[in-house]
Amino acid sequence: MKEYILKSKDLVKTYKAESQSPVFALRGVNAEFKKGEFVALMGRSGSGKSTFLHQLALLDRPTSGQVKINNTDVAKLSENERAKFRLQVLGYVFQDYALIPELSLYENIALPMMALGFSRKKYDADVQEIIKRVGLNGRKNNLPSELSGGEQQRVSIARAIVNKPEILFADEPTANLDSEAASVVLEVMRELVDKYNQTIIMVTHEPDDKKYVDRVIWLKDGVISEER
Amino acid sequence: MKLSLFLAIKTIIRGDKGSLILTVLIMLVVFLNLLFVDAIFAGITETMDKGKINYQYGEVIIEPKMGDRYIKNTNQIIDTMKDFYYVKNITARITTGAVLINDKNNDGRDVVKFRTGIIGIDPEEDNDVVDIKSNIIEGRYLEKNDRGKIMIGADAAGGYGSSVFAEDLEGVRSGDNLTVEFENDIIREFEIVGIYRTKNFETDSKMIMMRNDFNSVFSTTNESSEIIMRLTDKNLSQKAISDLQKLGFGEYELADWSDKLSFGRTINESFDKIGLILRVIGSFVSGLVIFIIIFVDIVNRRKQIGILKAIGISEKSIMYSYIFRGMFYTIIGMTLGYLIMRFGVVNLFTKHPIDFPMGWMIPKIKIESLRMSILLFILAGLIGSFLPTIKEVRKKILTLMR
Ligand SMILES: Nc1ncnc2c1ncn2[C@@H]1O[C@H](COP(=O)(O)OP(=O)(O)O)[C@@H](O)[C@H]1O
Ligand SMILES: [Mg+2]
Repeated sequence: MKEYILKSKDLVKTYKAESQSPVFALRGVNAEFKKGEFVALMGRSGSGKSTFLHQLALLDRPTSGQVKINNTDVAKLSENERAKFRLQVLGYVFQDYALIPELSLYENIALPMMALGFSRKKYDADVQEIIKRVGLNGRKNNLPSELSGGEQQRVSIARAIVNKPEILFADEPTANLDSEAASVVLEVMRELVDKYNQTIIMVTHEPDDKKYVDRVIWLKDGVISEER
Repeated sequence: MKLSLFLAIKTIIRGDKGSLILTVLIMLVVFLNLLFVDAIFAGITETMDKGKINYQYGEVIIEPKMGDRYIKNTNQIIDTMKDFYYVKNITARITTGAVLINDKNNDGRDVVKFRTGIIGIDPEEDNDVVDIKSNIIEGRYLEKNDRGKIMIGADAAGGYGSSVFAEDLEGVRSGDNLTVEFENDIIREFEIVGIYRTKNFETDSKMIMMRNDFNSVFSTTNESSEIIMRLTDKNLSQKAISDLQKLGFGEYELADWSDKLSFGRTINESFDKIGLILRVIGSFVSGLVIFIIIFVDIVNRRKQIGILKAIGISEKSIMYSYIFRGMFYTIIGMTLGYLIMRFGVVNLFTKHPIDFPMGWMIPKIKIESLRMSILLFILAGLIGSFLPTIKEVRKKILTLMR
């Protein structure tokens, strides 16, 4: 029996714009995620997938409800503690890669290690190994602009896992890629789960992606409609 | 901190070279401009100080107290002081006021009168103390055996270029005769042998005559009106004054060159005020440049700030990286500005000094002004990079990443 490392309870997120009527993006979402699980969040556009991911990933604060990571109620953390938490415990992959254009592939990946205060001597081996793991050997001095979309997304994954995070979050990581590049990225992610017991929570709207994941959570109008 | 520095450096060297060069260039020009004006002010001040020391007061001057006319024990003072290690040369002068009369056509009709000070000197002794000889622009310096001969300053003579005085003798030259009406109503005629211009306007408006001629007019012998001392180092002037006091010469007015800078001092104060205003304006401009550069840059990088925050990099580290960049532009600009000033401008003007009314002027970098300018510029750079950054960095991650 695997333990749950991430739970949401009655998670509600309501967006209130001043002049407009409120948007109920999440309306009480309860979900649990196990260590080493690869979970896809699926649903129609506007169903609340990203909003849900943002609450789980500490990128936003819910209107009400609870998020627990390793039994820590994250609502109780200060902004500084949340930043530390994001740096040490969580990893992120975004749809548009979100790399720093002035940093080389190597430097982008090493960034979280630097933020943790490690010296190059300490992190060099790790970074080199991760570059190999995502299949970008020999490209480490390239700038993001010199890489293809698929390659950039793999850099982004490498950056997200260099700190050995407990949970890796990905919001539509393949949406900007052609199907070939997309399957390379998904295979890399699958390998992380199989080989390193990485927990991954990924938003996607590609039905084909189902074959890479262990479980799919379907969202509809801000609630879970189905789990498989 | 290290991370902030790393991000700042990478952004600078991998960023747009054109805007980097332009930014540094603006900072350089603003700083150089400030240094230049400061250096001109300092140069003018120094030129005036030098003029006072070299052509009028020496480093230390002894004068009778108010109400007394002469220094009585002149020889005693000179004999005592000349043996001090810091005394290079020493001389006594005797002075009075007089009206100089230039009868232009020697017919008593077109007569110009000019009231001024007169100095009686022993030319050989005086030449070691006050440098008139190398400033003779026409004719010659007085000689030991001269009688009835005088030298006159260019501003008194008239016709030797612009002067700060409205009046002069309207053009006398060496070789001309000049009538002098002394304070005791004795009138004598003298031959002008030399015209001098030191650019110290007080000296240049006077007339210099032989000590012997003076004695014959006033029936004086060894009295003097001032004893001028030249020291090995102008910073020893206070030591010299305290020694004079200890030796019992406190009955006289003892002053050093800096006490005599009344006009120079007020000008100096004005320069300091103008300098301060320029420094404040200059640092404001540089702060504004940094503000605009960082502001524009940060608006284009909102998303990146969001990403950095999302992956867990602290707001502080992100902010510091922008402040480091602002500091980089400021410091590089200042350094280049200083180098150009120090090795370009100052060197150029050292070879070709500027002809100022007060003397040949060489711009001079004053350490205190430099330090203050650097401090203000750094402060401005800090504020200029802090203000646009803090607002942006505080925003929510999702707001930034949108
Ligand atoms: N910042 C926001 N302000 C207002 N409404 C928002 C905001 N972000 C998302 N929404 C709304 O919340 C709902 C869910 O959005 P989202 O989670 O982005 O959907 P998905 O990722 O499934 O496409 C949508 O109706 C969207 O318009
Ligand atoms: Mg979405």
